[in-house]
Amino acid sequence: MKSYLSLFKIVLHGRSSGNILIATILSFTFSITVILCTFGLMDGFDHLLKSGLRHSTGDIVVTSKRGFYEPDEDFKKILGSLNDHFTPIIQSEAFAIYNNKSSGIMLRGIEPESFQKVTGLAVKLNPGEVIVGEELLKQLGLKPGDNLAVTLGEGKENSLPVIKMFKVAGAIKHGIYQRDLRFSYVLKADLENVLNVSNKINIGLISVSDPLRPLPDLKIVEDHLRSLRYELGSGFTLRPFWSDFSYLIEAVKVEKFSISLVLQLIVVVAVFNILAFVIYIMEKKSQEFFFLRAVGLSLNKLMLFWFATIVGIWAVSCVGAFFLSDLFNLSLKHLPIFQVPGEIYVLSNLEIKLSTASFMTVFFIAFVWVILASFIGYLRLKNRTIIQGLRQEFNS
Amino acid sequence: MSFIKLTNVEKAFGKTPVLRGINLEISDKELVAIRGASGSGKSTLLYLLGGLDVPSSGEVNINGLNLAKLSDKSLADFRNQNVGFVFQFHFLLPSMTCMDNILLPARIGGTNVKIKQVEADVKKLASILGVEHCLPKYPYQLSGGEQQRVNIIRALSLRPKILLCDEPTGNLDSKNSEKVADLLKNLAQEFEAILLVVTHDDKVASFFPRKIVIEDGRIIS
Repeated sequence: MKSYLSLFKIVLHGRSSGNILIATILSFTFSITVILCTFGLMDGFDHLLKSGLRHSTGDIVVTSKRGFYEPDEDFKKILGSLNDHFTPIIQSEAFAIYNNKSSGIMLRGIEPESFQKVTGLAVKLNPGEVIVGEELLKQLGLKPGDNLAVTLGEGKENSLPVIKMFKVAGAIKHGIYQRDLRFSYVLKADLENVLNVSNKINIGLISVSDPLRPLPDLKIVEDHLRSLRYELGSGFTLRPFWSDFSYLIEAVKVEKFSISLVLQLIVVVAVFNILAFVIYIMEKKSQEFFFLRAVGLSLNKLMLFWFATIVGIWAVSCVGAFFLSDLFNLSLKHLPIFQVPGEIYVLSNLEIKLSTASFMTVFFIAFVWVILASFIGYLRLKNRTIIQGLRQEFNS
Repeated sequence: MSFIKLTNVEKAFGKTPVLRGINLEISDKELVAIRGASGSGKSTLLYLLGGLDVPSSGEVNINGLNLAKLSDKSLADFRNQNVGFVFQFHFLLPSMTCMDNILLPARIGGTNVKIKQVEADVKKLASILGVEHCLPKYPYQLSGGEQQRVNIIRALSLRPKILLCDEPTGNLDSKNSEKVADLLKNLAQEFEAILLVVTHDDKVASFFPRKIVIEDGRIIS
């Protein structure tokens, strides 16, 4: 260990060697960070989109082709164990009007307890209260305690729309811009009264796994969808939570693949930096290396030292990249400059989501490149005998 | 019994033979000058003796060890613990002070070497050779003679059993050459080391009791 430290001291002797080592570590760190952040943004978008969708629709949306339907005993029997993860909803198009501003909304009558169980969203509502989406709150300039006028159809043919006043109890965040702008919630009983649809609903939401945890596999939802479609028959339409945004999820997948190809360029740039370091040190310190070999440093020891140094650069860069990507994630969440326009990006904010597998993949690929680069350095040393090296390096 | 024994040693670089059928025995603490014209193979012989290179055929035995059979690591350890090199070009690393240069063999020698002890020995030797003031300086700040003395101190820093010198006076004037030759002889005797000096200078060779002459890769006397 002591001799390794001495060797390290020899290699880093001189300001230029230290500077180039720092520059190499920095550039490698930034390259890995760029790759991590790009993958993280893709995965984060996918994660936020899916969790946002699940927060507003559960895992499966059940509608009837007849419009309103009654989730009677037969219906509940078919749901079986999923019955405990079912929430009934009455949903109606409406207009929200406040202070001379209006906006088209989707008013949902819910049972807060079962709704939370299915979507993971805690909604505290009293009779006569409404909870609006976060973006709608901003758009209309609402505050908790304000009275919001909601205009909606009464549910009867040829009848005029009715205006109902609801007290704003607060705002809700689904994580998807359009839904934070459109979805508002009242008690199911309140909406039943307005629409005269007692005991009937037009939407049912089902969750097949804990809504607060990422879904391990979309296949679980697909399997339930298949069996429920068979059991409920053709009178019902069942849609998975991603159906409205499946094009986006697919686009992210395709984009991730195409960007990963582009990112190879960044990997190559990073490898060039490492190679530049290897060549620089080999040229600058070859006198030292050959002389050390002459006075008793074995090729194996030199090789081990060389690999240890390069692996050290890799390890420090990986740790640096881990913290930098974390820092970037924090900035994305908290700095206004990184807030994206939700109407374009669907999500109101972005975040970096990196799984252990993503870290391992990026770090491993970087490691392979680093080992290749260090091998080139090793070959340069190995291909010359001590005598050749001494004569060439000290006579020139 | 001889400490160094070379049997039928041949060395070729590519298809060019450099050493042919060398048989040589050197006893412990012997002081030897190897003479020969440029390109005669004398330096190559020295490098084979120091374990810096291996013969194309034949055996190089040192204290019972056949160098050709040693692994790279064992050969490196052998060089570190048994051989001190003084080259014509001093091979002092320009990026380090003279003291750091001298301590290099000790530092890479591993845990067996006590650096503090070596440092103390080096200072003592530097004071004897009159270059104590050079130790904190960089090689480029020293004269040719001072650089060669520092080079000699480095070669002796781990108290080697064999001191190999390749044209140690090649870059010095005749007055300084004689001083260095005399110095090497005295130091080798003090350190009880075998001294092998490659030189083409008859005056320098005359300082040593045994002389070997090489011509076209063969020992002729």
